[in-house]
Amino acid sequence: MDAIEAGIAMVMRWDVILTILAASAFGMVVGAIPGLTATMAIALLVPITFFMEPLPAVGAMIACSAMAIFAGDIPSTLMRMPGTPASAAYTEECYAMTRKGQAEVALGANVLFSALGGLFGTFILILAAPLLAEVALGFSSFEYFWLALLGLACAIFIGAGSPVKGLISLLLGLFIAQVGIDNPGGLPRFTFGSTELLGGIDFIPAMIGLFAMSEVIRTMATGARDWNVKQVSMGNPLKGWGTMFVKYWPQQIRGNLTGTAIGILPGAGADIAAWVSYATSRKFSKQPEKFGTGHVEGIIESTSSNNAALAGAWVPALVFGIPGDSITAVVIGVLYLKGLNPGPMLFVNNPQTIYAVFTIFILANLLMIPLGLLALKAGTALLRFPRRILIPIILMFCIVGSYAVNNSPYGVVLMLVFGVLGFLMEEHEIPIAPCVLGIVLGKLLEESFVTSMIKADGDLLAFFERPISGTLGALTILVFVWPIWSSLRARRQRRAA
Amino acid sequence: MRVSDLIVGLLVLLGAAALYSAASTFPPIPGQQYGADVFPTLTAAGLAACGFILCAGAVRAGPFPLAQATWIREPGALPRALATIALTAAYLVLAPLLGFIPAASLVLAGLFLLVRVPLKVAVPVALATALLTWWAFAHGLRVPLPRGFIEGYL
Repeated sequence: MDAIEAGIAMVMRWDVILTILAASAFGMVVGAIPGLTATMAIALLVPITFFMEPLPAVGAMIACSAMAIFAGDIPSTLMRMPGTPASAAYTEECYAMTRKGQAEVALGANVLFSALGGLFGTFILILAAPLLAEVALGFSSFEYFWLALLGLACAIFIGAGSPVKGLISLLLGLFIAQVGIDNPGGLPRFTFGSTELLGGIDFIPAMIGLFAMSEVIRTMATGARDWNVKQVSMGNPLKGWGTMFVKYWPQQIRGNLTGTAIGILPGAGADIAAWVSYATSRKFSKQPEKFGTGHVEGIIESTSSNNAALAGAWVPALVFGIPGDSITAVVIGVLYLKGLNPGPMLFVNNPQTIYAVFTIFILANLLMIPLGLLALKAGTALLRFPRRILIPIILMFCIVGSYAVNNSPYGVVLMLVFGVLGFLMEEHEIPIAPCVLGIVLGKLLEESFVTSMIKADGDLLAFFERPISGTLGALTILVFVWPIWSSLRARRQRRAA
Repeated sequence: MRVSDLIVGLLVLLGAAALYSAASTFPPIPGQQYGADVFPTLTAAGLAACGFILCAGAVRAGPFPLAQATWIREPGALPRALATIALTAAYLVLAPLLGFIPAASLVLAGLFLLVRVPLKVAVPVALATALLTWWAFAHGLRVPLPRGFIEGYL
């Protein structure tokens, strides 16, 4: 109980609250701009968090990501352009409502159910994380190896369009994680004689490059033309909240549950949750024919789901140090930098910090309602800001942010290299997220694999001997084998037909 | 700026070969069978398999038009993408010589002009952005941004 009180007290400070408010506003701006993702908002925020105490830094990231995911719904509804990939699943539906003159209903539903979804995900995080942490205390290198591999497998087979390209991206990430001297042999690998590379590839400039710089290059290439914002008369977004809440509560609960479960799954995040929930909503709807014509039912389920996934993704991140999605992948890097090494020992040694994180989640989601309603008013004005001015300014932030990591131009070089790499990868439909997870999980995967092999004297069966390790191993193999098996079966059926 | 999956696959195969040859030079941990070479070797094997699958798929699918992305067909798209990269690289050269404010102003002005912001808007906005960024990072967050020749004036 003392830890809970201490945790709440840590958050209820003016500097923490102000940071949360400022980060929410930043998340709103980035999320509302089409093409700029919630992960990019987090990547751009990271250099600023260097100068903060650990708790405001974590608070800023939670508030920023929650707000960015919601704000992605604004251009999605008004312009048929998803602000973040997490809004893409129901963009058509939201825009169809705008065409029917019901933009305020769609956006009102987005505000309310995003906040409720986020609160539900937080509730599960509060319940599940400490319980899982207790189990995780007994984990050895075998279990950590499988967990890391499971996360990577999910990222390839659930997230990517082409599993082969997803795997290439992942292996590239694993290779990047191998650079430097921090490996089981303590040997400099792929450093080409550079002293800067001895310490490995700095994660933050790499993230800024992959997520932000690549988008800047693409937007500059197209001339950064302004968006065509339709003038919509926006009524009261609070209209119909009560009716929607009563009428669509099963959809909301189902969205919350799906989103949280997908979020908890290592490697799968808010965008996948939204797609799955939209499809589920249509499948179980009594009026499936109305989907795509501006029907709020699917919007409620998927918007609940993507925000619930955001909190769910923190479960594996806090308990095992394994990111639930690309946002928590960046967050884990920051937690290490701030000395809050994620893992079960954080729950034992620093429970007040964990409760403070939970409190921030609740606060950020509650704040989403008033801030979200304000954002709806500001949203159209923001979308009228000339993109030709905005994009070069974002590039300058990328440069200064990468420099600030080590106060060295090396960060800017890394950011540029990874920016070009990210741009080329996306041009060739190679997804970026598996690469990021590879960079984050590479060291854990290698360390746990080599340690386990040394412990087991090279016996691979040892990976299946402990009960949890064996179960995780079987699950991981299933994730790898299932898509291959189902594609072979589909091919056989096609041939038979 | 897209090349066919066959070329991507071949590049991946080439990368896998380079990775494998580098990994084979890493010695194992003394007294152990496993060391710094295990993971790079496994990564190289995975990349080689992916490269092969990608090449095989591309050969089966047949010829591929060189430029597929829609933006590449827009006039000036590729030069603008390259100029953005070049201007970022120019910042790296200019900042230590001129200092952050002049270097950032020049790069920003260049970027604005690249996307056809009128000169009379581009120059003041570039200068104001550079000054504000300097104020926020160097003054507010104490980041030692390069000062260059204006060292004595700040």
